[in-house]
Order: sequence, then structure tokens, then C-alpha cells
Amino acid sequence: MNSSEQQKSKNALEWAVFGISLMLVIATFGMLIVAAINRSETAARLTVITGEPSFSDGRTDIPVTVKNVGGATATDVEVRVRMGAGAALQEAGFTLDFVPRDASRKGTVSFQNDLRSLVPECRIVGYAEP
Amino acid sequence: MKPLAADDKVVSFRETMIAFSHSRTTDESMREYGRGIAGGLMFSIPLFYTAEMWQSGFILQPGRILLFAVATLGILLLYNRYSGLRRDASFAEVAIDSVEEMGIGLVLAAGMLALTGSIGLDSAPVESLGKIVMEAMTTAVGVSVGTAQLGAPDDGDKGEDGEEAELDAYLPQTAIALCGAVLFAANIAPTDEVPIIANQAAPLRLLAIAGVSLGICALVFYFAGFRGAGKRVARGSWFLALRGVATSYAVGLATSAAFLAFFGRFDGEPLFHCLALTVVLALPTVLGASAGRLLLQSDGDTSSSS
Repeated sequence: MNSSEQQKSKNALEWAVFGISLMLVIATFGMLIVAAINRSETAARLTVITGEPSFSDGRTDIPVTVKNVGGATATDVEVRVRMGAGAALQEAGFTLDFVPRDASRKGTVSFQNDLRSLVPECRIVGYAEP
Repeated sequence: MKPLAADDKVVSFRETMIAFSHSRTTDESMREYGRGIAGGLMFSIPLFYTAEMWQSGFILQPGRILLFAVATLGILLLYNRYSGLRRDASFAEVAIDSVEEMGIGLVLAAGMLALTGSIGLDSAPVESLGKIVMEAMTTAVGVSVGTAQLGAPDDGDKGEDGEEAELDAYLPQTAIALCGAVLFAANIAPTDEVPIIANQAAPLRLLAIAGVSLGICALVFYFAGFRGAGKRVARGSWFLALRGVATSYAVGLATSAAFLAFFGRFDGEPLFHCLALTVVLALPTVLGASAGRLLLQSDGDTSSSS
């Protein structure tokens, strides 16, 4: 090996980029391995929670949060919120494209009258598997 | 003899353990990283605007995403070993470069996903991780290609004399064809258009698609005078011509099938539909295995094919 070949090496910037990259790659692979090991074989399991309603211009808006605590992603999740009963029953809803596992998605339902005296009843009508 | 200082010992240890093929100033390194970032974005930007791609980050199970990351590391090692810029590099140097490119790919992907609002502080950690890794892998291959191919002709390692013939041999060229095929397949495999076209395609249409795919290979290698074709494509007999076309198409088919299987397109599907999907995706993929293969090692050869 001649002297010019002996001098070939990475500079400080290149070593720094390599060091940070190595840490990122190890962390990424590590997190994926842990997620794969802890993977649940269960289907999607959806929970739904309504937030604090807001009332304006005679309208009622109710925020809804859907959380997936199961082991698979749910698609085309249909959410319905009912207010009242019998002949006075009103229903509103929305569809979420995806609710990934361990993730939550938010939406809002609107009723065209002031319903502050009623308690919302929220449910998931159904979902599809991707 | 003067005793070595602590810093000298560290440098001496590195040089003993890893033989590097180059030495750059900080300015040169920054320019190279700049080329890598530009290349990474250039090759992966369609994926940041493809909903199916980031959706796959939370639909696919973590084990499958891990497999994708490991396979990408293999592709980076192959490309860095056989591409025009790293011919005289040792395995350790190739591995270091590959890890660097994967790291830059991860940072770029996270930045682009955050910039476009696909991930945020309110996203679930597993969801963000899946999206970042799915986008970062193609970005990392783009970083590698950008680093190697976007610089000025005198801006990189030249390789050692005598390795040229080896690197133009069948297996190294097949490895680079695989890298080209991966870059093309990665951009199209996750889209819904592939199954739509496959569902509409009757057997005769599939046969026509396969024929056109083979024709594209022949066109690129033997008729269009592509840069590098004169030097990188074996010629001189019908057997060599057939082998070149058939190998590229086989690489395109295998890459397409691997990507489709990875994205779950084969799950629960009958065999003929899997074949139809593969043939449909192989049309763009074979362009990567043929034209892409030549562009990925464009190092100044300008001779025309016969």
C-alpha cells in the first residue's frame, strides 16, 4: 500500500452522517422487530367516543373520535349518531376511509336543530378489511 | 520514534480495518450528499403523492415492512457494489455507504411526509413508522443512484483497471437490471391501476402486453442506440441477444411478482389473476431492467449499438 492509499479515509462529516444513519437504521429495524413480535392476530376493534357538543344558529355539532384497539386496519368505517327516540329520532353519520391499528380518527356529525336536552347514542355500523 | 496520539490511534485503527477507495474534502462530501438528496427525491417523489403507498404503511403488518427494509438494504449493497462509482470499494465501504443512504432516505421520507401532512404529532407511532419506512426505502435507492449518477464525470471514484470486464459480465449486469426494475416497480406496484388493468385484460391482451415488453427490451438494447448499450449489452450472436432480452424480461417479471406479493395483491387470488397482475406490472418494470439498467451506470460511454 503506498502513502496516497494510506491517506484515503472518510472525513469527519462523512463519519458523522454514517453514525447518525447507523443509529436511525438500527432504531427503525428494532422498532419494526418489536412491532412484529407484539403483533396482535385479532381483527380491528373499534371504539367510539363523542366529544362536547357545540350549539350555534339552532344547529348541534357533535365531535366523534373512533379508535382502533385491534390488530388490523379497518377501512370504510361507518359511524352513526342517534339523538332522541321514537318519532323524534334523528340520525347523522359519516364514513372514515381508514382507521389504522392503534390509531384514532376524528369526525363531526351535525343536526339541523338545537338538541342540547338529548344524549347522543353513537355506534359503528360496520367496516371492511383492506 | 514518536508515540501515536489518541486521535492518530483511532484513525490508524479505522484505516487498518476498512480500506477506503476515496478521500474527499468536506465541501466535496456536502456536494455528494446534495446529489444524493436530489436523486432520492427525484426517484421517490411520485410515491409521496400516491395514497396507496402511504396507506400500505399502516395496512401491511410490521413483519412484512421489515422484510421490505431488509430487501432494500440488499438492493443498496448490490447497486453500490456494481454501479459505476464504487467499483474499487471494499465490502465494508459498500456497507457503510448503504447504511448512510438508508439513513438519508429515512430522514428525507419523514421530512416529506411531515411537510405534506401525511404524518404529524397526533399520528399513532406505528402508523408513522410504517409510512416512513415504506417511503424511505425507494428514497434510499434514489439517494444511491443520485450520488452515483448525478455528479460531474470527474467527481467520483473511477475504479481499478481490469475490473471493467468483470463488471460488464452477465451477473453484475443482471444485478443492476434488478436495481433498475425495483425503481420502476416501486412507483407503480402499490397503485390500484395495476389490478384494474389486469381485471380488464383478456389472455390475448396479456400476450400482447408480454410481447410489447420483450420488444421494449430489444429496442433499448439493440436498435435505439442507447448510451451505454454498446459497452454494457452482450452482442455478437443471436444467442447473446436472446439471452439479454430474456434475462431482462425475467428480472422484470420476478421483480413485479415480488412487489405484488409484498403489497398483498396475490392474497386469496387465483393463479391466473396473479399471472395477469405480474404481466401487467412487468411492462413498466422491464423498462427499468433495460433502459434503467443502462442509465444507472451511464459513465460516459457513447458508442452506438449495431
